[in-house]
This record gives sequence, structure tokens and C-alpha cells, in this order.
Amino acid sequence: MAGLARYLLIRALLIIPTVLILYTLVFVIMRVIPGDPVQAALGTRYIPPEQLELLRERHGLNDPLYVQYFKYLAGVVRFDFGESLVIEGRRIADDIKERFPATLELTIASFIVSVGIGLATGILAAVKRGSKLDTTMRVYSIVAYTLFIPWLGSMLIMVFSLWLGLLPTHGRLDPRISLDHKTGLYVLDSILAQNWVALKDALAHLILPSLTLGIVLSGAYTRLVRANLSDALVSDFVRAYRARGVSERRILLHALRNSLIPVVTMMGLQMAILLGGAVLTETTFSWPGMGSYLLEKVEARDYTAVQGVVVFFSFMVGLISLVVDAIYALIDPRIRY
Amino acid sequence: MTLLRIEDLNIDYVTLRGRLRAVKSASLTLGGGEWLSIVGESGSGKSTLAMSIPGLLLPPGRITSGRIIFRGKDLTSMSGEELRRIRGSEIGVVFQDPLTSLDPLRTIGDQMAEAIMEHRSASSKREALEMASAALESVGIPGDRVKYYPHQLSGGQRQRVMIAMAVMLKPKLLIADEPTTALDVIVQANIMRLLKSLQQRMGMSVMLITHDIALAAEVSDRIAVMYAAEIVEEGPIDQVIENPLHPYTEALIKSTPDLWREKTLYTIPGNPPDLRSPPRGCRFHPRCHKAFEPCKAKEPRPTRLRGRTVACHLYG
Repeated sequence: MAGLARYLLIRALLIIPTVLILYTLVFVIMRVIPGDPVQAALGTRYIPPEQLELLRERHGLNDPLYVQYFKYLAGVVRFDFGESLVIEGRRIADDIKERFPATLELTIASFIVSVGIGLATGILAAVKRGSKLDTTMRVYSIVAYTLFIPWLGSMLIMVFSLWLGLLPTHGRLDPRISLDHKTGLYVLDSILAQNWVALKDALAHLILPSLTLGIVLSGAYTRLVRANLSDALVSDFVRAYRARGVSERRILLHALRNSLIPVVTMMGLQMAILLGGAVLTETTFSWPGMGSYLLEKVEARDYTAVQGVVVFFSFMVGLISLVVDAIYALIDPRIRY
Repeated sequence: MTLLRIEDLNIDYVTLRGRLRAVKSASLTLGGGEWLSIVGESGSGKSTLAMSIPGLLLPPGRITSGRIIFRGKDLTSMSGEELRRIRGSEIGVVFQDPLTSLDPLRTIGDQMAEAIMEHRSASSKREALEMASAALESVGIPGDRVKYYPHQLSGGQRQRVMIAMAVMLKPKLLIADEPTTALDVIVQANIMRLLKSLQQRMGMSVMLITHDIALAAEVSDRIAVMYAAEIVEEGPIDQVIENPLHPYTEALIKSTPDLWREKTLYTIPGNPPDLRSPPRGCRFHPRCHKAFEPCKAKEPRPTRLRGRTVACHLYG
């Protein structure tokens, strides 16, 4: 296992240059965009030039670029992304702390839905390759893949909320329910507080958004699992298992494990994208996560907020890729060099 | 004592472009402790024939008629579960490519122990692993290699592992499908020597599938030659090599490279036929230098001749 530890350490250290490069890129892009960020943030309102100058001074925009670069970097290391240009005194890090748990909760739930559906349909299609069931699964994967999230979300709201009245239409929790937001993950918070009313409500709010996002994302898994598993099922080592009299059920498990590497790669990519905020889903269900936050801030031209979100996102991407690398190593012994 | 008797076996591949008969009216017997080699070119049906015995035909391959009697029971009428129980315990198989025939994600010990457990030949995983390690020792690989992953072994070692897996439950029949084709010449010789000594030590029968008639000549008791889905000649190895009856067998022997003899290698003119539309009459007649009138019109029937079988109009 020494090899495994070394491998993971190297992968973890590799996050640092990744984030640094992304940060530098974002920094440079934000500076070369034409126009004055303070002026842009304030819009067309007339502000006396002295006051504009004061704002620039306050946000350090008059410093030489290299000073700005390192000052901001020093903040990032302490999880400080500066102050909002639009709302005075508002720390971007506080915004992220508030919004990120919503995104994380939605991400986890829709990830479970998409992987669950994707694996089940993909395995069925691969095992019954060439059958009617296989065709059905393939049609499902294409349809799911091409569905437009706001449309599917609206349809689900119409059926389950408006017609059947079973589930709430939007938001994360009924405002009449009080809950201590310890982690910001409402499902986890209500379990910690042993507040079962809140748990039921939080779950009810989570169903439609995660179903919408999960179904749309599952189509790609169906195809990927089907393709890789059906290749594995006709491979030489499967025939060798069969020649030794190993049962079909066990052979399926071994073949599945062998077809999992590309699936894990896609899981990582999707997880990373989802953590950046599922903009369409969040706006459809008024879900207060990172996606809708970024949208608001881009519209408000809140320069520091956008910069902060992107840098934060690069951290997440680094973290996810570390997890993915660890899973690779667990699945495939050849990777633990 | 007869271990295996194949009677009039037909195997078809049904594809969208039509039906292809990969094995046609094959009949063979294999005695206990006997070594039979099936020789033929690529696509002659020799692997298909061998894989049909333990029920390992790849779809769309299918046995359409005939019987495979193994230890008195017809394998073609057995259920999948009955066949599974015979595979690995009574019939072992070694495949051509040892690089791809092992699961890359699991240790060889796990893969061996799993099969042992599936056949209920060990009561615990620990006992199964001990059996696995003993099986490795018997093929000349240190027993502690059970902890190794396939990628930690060389090609020759992996083929030894495959052989250990095939014989670990002491099968009555070992089917070896081109077991040395993917290996270099020195390793080839070692593997063949290993197979021969295992056969003698364990008293099992071996069915070797190979395109190399010289290799077959060194190890076999008997040989069957296949051409275009048919067995054209079958008999004791010495007699067939010294005095081939079928013109195809003769040509096959002549086209074996020999360092000390001719400079240029003999080749059979023409190509094997397309099995979707084989030639009328004898399937070899368009390439045969001894062909005469009946060959073009009538299919030759297998004829018994001095303990051998040959399908050729010269002897009909």
C-alpha cells in the first residue's frame, strides 16, 4: 500500500499548480477585459469621480497589477475572496458559504439519481444486447440526453406539484419550518437536529430538482455503461472465467468492474460541472445555489464575486480529480505504481 | 476406453448475411490419457469444434445437430448449469492469448480460488488459496505468486498460470487452443513440454488445437486434419506424418519450414474457400494436384483405412 499512498500524495500535490494556473488565468482575463470594473458595477448612475476613486482605492484596484495579484492570492489561501463591488461590505466568501451547501446537496442527490438510473439501464442493455429491452434502453438514453432541463422541470412541476399536489414547486424548505443550518445541507441538518418534519420537507423539495437533473444526466451513463460492459462481456478473460465454470452472476460483476474506469472518469467530470452550479435546474426550481448566484453576479457585473466563484470552482475541480484518481487506483492495480 | 466421442457434429454461424457452416459432419473419438491434435489453417473450424465441447461457442455460433458424448453423457443436451459444473472441473481449457485471458484487476490467486470455490472443491477461501498455490507450483511457478496481479508476470508465466487454472481441479480432458501461438519460440517449447508432462503425470486426455503440424508431430498420439470445416484425415500421428493419405495433409506437411532442406518454402496454390459458398464436390479439389473427375461432382465420404479415416475419392 506504500505505492498507493505515494500515488495519492503526488496527485494531491498536483492540485496546487492546477489551481494556481487557473487563478492566474482568471486574474489576467479579468484585468484585460476593457472597461472600469467599478464603473461597470455601478451601471449608468451618476457617481462623482472622487467617490469612484475612493471605491477603486478601497478594492485595491489602483495598486500595481503584481501587488493586486499577490494580495488576492494571499486572501485566497485563507479562503477570502474579497469584497463585493456591488453590495458594500459583503464578503464573497460568506456568499459562497451560504450558497455552496445548496449546490452540494442538489449535486449529491442528482448524482445518485443519474448514476443509479444510468447503471441500471446500461447493465440491462449490455446483458440483453440486441433485444427489444436493449433498444428501449438506447432510445431512453438518447431521449434523456436531449431533454431540455427547464422543460422537463416544468412538466414535473405541473404533474407532481400542480395536478397531484404531492411535491413543492420550488425552494429548499418550507419557510414556516425552522431549522438550525449547521452544515447548510438541509437533509443532514434535519437529521442532526432530529427534526423529522424538516427532513421530510427537505427531501420533498429535493425530489423534483434532483430527478430533473438526474434523468437528463443519466442518458450519457446508459450509453457509456452499455458500450463498455458489452465489450467486457465478450472479452477473453470473461470466456476464461466461463471456461473455469464461474457462474454468470459473478462473471457479470467482474466484467462490470472492468468496464468502470471510463464511467468513473465521467462521474468525476459531471460532479465537477455540477458543483459549479446547475444553472438551468437552479433557476427552474428557484434553488439558491452557486449556479443562480453566478448568474446574478454576472448580471450585476460584480467583478470580485465572479472572480471568487471561479477560483473556488477550480479548487473543487482539483479536489474531485483527486477523488477520481483515488477511485481509479482502488479499481485498477496497474495504476498504483 | 473412450473419453470423448463426437458424432456427426454440425456447427453454424447464423449471421445477417446468411448461414455459415463452420464445422460440417465432424466425427472424432478421444481415448482416456490420449493426446489428439487438431491441425488446420485459420478458419478451418478447428477452434470452433474444440470450443463447442465445453459449451463455449461465441454467439452467433450454434450446434445445429450431432452429439458430443463425454464420459457417457451427451453434452449437447445438457443445461447451462450442468455444463458450467463440468467446465473447469472435468474439462479444462487453455486459450491462445494469456495476456488477455486473465482479469487484469484481480490477483491470480483470487481468480483461481474463485473457480475452486464455485466447484465446491474447497471449504474455505484459505484452503482454496492453498490449492491455487499448489497448482502454481505444479506448473513451475512459485506458490507465493498467488498474490500477484497478471501485469506483474511475463507472457510465458501467464500462460503457465492459465494452465495451472485449467488443470487445478484435475480434469479428465484438457483443451488447449493454440496455447503457444502468442509466445516466442523458446517459451513455446517449454510450455509444450509442461503440457506433455502434466498429461503424463495426471493421466488426462489432451486436445491440442494448432496450425503447426510439426509441433503436433512432437507431442501427439493421434492427429486430425481439418480443411474448410471438415475433418479430411484422422489417424495415429506417425502414420499420418510418414504416409499422409489425403492430398491436403500431404501438402500441409510439405509446406512446413525445415532449416536443413529446401531453400524455398512449398505453398499450396490458391486460397481456402469462402464457407458461405464452398465449392461443389470435394472442398479441396480446386487446389488439389491429384483431383480427377469425381472430385468436382461428389462429396467424398469418410472412409476407414488401416485404422485411419480419410475423406478423399482416391480411397473411396
